[in-house]
Amino acid sequence: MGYSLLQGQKVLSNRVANYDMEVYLDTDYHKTRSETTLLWKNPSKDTIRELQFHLYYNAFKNDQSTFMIESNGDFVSQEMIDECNWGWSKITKISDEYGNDLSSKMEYINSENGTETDQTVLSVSLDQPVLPYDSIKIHYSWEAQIPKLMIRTGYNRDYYFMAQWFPKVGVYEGEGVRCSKKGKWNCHQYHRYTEYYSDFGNYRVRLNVPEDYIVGASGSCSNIEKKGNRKIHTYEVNDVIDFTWTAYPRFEEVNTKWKNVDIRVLHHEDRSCMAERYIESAKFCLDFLDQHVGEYPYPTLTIVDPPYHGIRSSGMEYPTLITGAGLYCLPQGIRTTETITVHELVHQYFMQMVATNEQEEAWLDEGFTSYYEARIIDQYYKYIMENDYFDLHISNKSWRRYRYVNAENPKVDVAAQPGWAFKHGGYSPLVYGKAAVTLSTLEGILGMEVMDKIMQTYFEKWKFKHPCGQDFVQVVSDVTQQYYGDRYGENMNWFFEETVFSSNICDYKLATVENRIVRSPMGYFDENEECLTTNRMSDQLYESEVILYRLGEIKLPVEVLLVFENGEEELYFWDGMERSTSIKVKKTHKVIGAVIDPEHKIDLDINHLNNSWFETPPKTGFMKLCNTWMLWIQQTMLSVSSLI
Amino acid sequence: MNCWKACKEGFLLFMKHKKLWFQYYIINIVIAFLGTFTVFTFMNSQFGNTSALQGILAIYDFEIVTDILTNYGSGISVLFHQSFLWTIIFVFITAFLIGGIIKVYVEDHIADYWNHCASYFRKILGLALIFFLLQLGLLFLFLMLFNWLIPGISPDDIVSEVTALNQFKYLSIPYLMLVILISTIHDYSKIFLVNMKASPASIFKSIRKSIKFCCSEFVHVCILIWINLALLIGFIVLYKIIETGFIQDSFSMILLAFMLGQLSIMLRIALKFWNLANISRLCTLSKSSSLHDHT
Repeated sequence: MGYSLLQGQKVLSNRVANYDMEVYLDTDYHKTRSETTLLWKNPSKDTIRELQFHLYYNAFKNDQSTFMIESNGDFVSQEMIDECNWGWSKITKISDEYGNDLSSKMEYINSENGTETDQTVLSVSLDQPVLPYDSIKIHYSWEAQIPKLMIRTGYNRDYYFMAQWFPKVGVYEGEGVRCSKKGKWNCHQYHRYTEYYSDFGNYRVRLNVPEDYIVGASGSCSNIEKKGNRKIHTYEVNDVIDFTWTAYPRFEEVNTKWKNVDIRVLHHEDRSCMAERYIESAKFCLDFLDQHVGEYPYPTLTIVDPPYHGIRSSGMEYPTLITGAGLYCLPQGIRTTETITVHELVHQYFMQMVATNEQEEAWLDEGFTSYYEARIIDQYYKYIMENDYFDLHISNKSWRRYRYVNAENPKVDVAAQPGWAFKHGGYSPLVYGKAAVTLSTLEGILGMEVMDKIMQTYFEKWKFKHPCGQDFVQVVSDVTQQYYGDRYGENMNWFFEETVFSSNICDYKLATVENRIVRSPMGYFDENEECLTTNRMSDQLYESEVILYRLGEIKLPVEVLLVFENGEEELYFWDGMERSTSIKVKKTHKVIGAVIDPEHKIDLDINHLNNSWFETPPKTGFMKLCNTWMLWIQQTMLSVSSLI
Repeated sequence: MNCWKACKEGFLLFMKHKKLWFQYYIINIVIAFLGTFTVFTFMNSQFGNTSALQGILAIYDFEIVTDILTNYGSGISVLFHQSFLWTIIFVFITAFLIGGIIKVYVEDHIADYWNHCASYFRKILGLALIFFLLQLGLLFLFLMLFNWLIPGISPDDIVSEVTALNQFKYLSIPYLMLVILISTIHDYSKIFLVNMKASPASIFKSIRKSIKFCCSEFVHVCILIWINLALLIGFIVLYKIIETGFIQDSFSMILLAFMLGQLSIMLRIALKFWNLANISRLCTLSKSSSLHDHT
């Protein structure tokens, strides 16, 4: 296989799965046909006797696939049934480089979750085993019926968005990879709440489409060749885990550059007003990630703004190609487009480069991405929703926390578990919300500098590899040790066990503050025969007791600020181990107030309102709230009474 | 022109009977105060000893709003329902007062004000119900027409959202004009209604007379509508410009914001009453109208 355009590029990954594809798009019947050559390298010390492939399009083949059963019919419309808009993919012929025809050795694996009718995983037994660290070339012909756009992929009218569209080899995890003790294939069925997981490799894809179609794809276009009334677009990209493309005759494009990266925005002709918003947010995001995480190594980035009828493909991440979500002249104060752009761009790092398993440990990519999305958006735009007229100012961080704390049941399940294990909801609030809030709590406890160091170390150590959750925890422990020694224990396992590896919640409450004047002793004492009755006070000495509760199960260390009558403030530290505790101080001035976590470092605390107690609390906040409420009632009454 | 004269005389009339304006404002603020007092009591009982709400001073911090809604949502929900009840009470009080107010503007004397309030209460309420149903019907028609013009708003129905937005925009203009026209007929109907002898048919008769009047005095009626709308919009814009400049982060600033808010409520009521005085004067001044029912 030749990789002409990118041949000189530095090798970034172990390039396990390399594809050379000839693809024909049939727009009349919404089909693709392809001749594909896969060069697969065995990354392990095991001898491999079978290959496993994902045939994701078979999730849309009928209503008996695992995906459709788990979706409870969410994606099956009457139109889909009537017009038979199902999708499928089929390998028609497969052989190895030695000329062995393997077509009869294909078998669907569908034992997972007891869904025996699923055809999204295909096993191919090899006549010639692949020896440790050796490679094999597989040729296969395949075709696919493209489904009507339903989730992430498909066609609608003349718009095509081709994601998870080709038979893709699974990941063989050798011993030690992602904490596995024994080599095995990791090739799960397509589930409702899982995304994807694959190996790094190089792609050379020749896309044969009608000549009026504008094409966008992962990587760079090295050649466009006209052939009758069709065009063949050749795209090449190296060291990526996937290849995605789109074709649509009504795309307009805007090109720009960030450092040495060519940024290309593809949008519907009606949406030219959105292009600048994509570019601005993408550039800022790349700057931020470059500075705080690591280098973006690819020469291209394509941002696709799906047209309205392609909206079901929006908000997704693929290597060097993301889909945004725009709307014709969306108000500037509503930053959905920017937020989604930033979110999908962060995915270039977390799970495109640091290639975690999205199916088994989605928190490692969605949680990380949501955490950075909040940092980036809030730094650059301050708010994701902003309107002075309605006094509306919502930061991304607070929105992210809202998704978690306002979940129907934040304790419904554990965040760090496979997508299909979320049987009773909670996937989004926990995987996106709780995981992101956990990371910002970690940032609060360790400080921004240490957090950045953790992420940089994790990225540098694990980019172009497949880490698991424990690998990240190990990095956190190592960096924390470097900065703080044993201050937080031998390792940081406890932090993650309390948070993402459990379904617990965090809630601290400042119960009350009691001040007692210290008096001299009274009554009978051995040294005095007489009863001491004098009620003598020591000189303005107060014994104050601040009572703290831990209402939630999560035990995290917190700071407690004590405010004294003379304005003096003192910061105390509570390890949060007990269900309740008290801080006792003897001072010449009484304690008039106390605040748990005064700097809001513990983002996981689901109720910050009960974190303080003051003898005479400031009431201006109450007054503002009451003023607003009163005006709101007055205006509402006047508006409704205008009906009279 | 009659409309300018009506405006001028309407203003004088409004000023002469400013007690009515003040009375309506007092009712509004007393009810709002009762509604707010329960909010204050509830909040104070829940986190009165905390400094939590200090975080909403500069802006309404969404994190605090989230915590209130998440942890005290059931209480807040009761307060919202209670506010809805206060609003209904105010609507009925308005229905009670409006007949008396119009009668004062038409006859330029305040004698028998409360009697008039009581005697027109049911008819004013009936009239409001008819026009409310009319407005609902119009909204329904608008939505039906919009639905008919575009195949749907799902991604399977249309290629670009611009199609739907444009249709919405083009339909909204005539719809809004019709809404204003119906509201105007409603306003004039009230004037005619309070000047008719009581009979079961007087509500519909007043609507007929109002339509007839609006047609015959179309230009003057339109000018009055535009004056009223322009003043209302101008006033809202001005209020919002001033209000957004206020950062309620101290007692004095909150007090200022409160005063500004109350001023805006007073002005809004004034505008409503001035408009009623204007149209009642226009009806009186217009030669083509037969304001008083001689049948």
